[in-house]
Amino acid sequence: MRRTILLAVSVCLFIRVGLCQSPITISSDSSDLSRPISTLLDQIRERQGLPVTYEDPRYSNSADIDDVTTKISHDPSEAERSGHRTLIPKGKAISFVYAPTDFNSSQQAESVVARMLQEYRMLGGPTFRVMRDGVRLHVVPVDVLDAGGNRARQGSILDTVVSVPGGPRDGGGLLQAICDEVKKQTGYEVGVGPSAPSNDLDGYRTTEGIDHMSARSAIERVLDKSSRPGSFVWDLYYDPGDKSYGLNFTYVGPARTPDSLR
Amino acid sequence: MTVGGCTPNPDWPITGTISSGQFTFTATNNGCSQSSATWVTYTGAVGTPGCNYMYGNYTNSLGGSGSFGVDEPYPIGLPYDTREVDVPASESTTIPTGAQWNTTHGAPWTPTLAPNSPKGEYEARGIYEYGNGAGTDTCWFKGSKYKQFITVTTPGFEWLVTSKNTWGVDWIGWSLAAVDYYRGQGRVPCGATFPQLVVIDAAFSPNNPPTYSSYLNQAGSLFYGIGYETNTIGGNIMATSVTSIRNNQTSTNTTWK
Repeated sequence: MRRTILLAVSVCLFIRVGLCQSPITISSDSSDLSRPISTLLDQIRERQGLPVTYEDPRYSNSADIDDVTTKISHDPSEAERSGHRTLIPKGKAISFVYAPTDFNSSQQAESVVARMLQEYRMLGGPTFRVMRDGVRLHVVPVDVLDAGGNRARQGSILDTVVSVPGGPRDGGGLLQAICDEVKKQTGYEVGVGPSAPSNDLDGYRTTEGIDHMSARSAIERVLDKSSRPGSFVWDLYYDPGDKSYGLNFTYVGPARTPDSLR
Repeated sequence: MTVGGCTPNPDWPITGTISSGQFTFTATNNGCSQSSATWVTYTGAVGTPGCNYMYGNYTNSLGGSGSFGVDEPYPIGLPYDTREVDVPASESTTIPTGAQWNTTHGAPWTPTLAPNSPKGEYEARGIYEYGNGAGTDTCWFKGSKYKQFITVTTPGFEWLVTSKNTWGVDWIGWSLAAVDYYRGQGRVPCGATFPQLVVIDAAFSPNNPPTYSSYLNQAGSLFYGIGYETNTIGGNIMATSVTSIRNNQTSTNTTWK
């Protein structure tokens, strides 16, 4: 009897350990291939709680772009008349396999994200790299196909060094001022999306400005002074039609309800 | 049975004061109890979170003294003095007078907890918001430069209830940049709605309702609370106006054209 119990416990432990080490496969969404790397990062954020940001390259090659104007407009004939085109990125399907233990340390996490980006490049996608800045990892573009089909180097727009004069404002005002400064220097609009953590940003009242800092670090600074450091990350999406960016936010912090605590 | 010619009565009349959670009150023997003390004075505090437990010290007319309760909202194996936590029956929502829409945050809302009797019933209690399932966003399309707007943006965020029984400001709605974008893509009229679970903090009491549960707030701290309402929040984008919606109330902005 005692041996049976020991055997049962051993089997249970074996199964549990085995499950913990089972590889995890994450995949792009076959019905929406506009931003496969962002889709995979969303899954990693949710499963591993990893604070990692994402930035689109500025796509310009027709092979990387879909025209969806007539599909998405409520009035396609009006859209045709106006001449405005709705263009979206067109990515490659990808599945990626990792082990949960790959995220045991920040260095390991960086390595596994780098491996994922390398695999995506091998599929013909643009080159991304991952870098660490403070408590977050950042996935940023390195190159993308130009109009002629050649890989052309392209850095992160958030490398832009910005300065914003001090003045009384809340975190939302400071975030907007940073985005305005990026537009002033690069010509690209960065629109703050509706997912901005407004209640946190409103609670951060400051007279501070930004003094010669990368836009990336400046945005991190606003987020981390408004809320627990690293609890919000962003996805910076590029619209190849309007040639502008949308800044989206995702909460990856510790807040949980009873359902998700179980 | 009578004592000294009257029916035993365990209730002692009390007088006292309470301010900012600190209290002193004296209970006086009405002469009809079996105690030989003529009075007992309690000095202590109402504890937060929850405001449903107390602790402090007492003295009585016989020279006796001691402590009561414990300064611990979630006592395990400790002597506690608690009562069933007060939970709002509902909340109403108004837009603060003179409040302005914000190009990043949308519209400001100030909820008022009900019942507000006695006045300031929930003052100093913590209110938290959480998502409660996914919503819908009819402005979004695959490939949009904005992600779907289908859940609360600050889960675990805490507000403190004011002396007027209000909390907030709770910012809800579209940013101006998203409004301009979706209009430009020919997506309007369109909108987004999603559920917002609102939770009020509570200390332990054996008499608490069964929905008393543990949560993690934005800072990662564990607290116990009770979800008292799930609101529908969101907003719509039209060709020449924008709305912010909270609990069937609508704030309309006609300047974002």
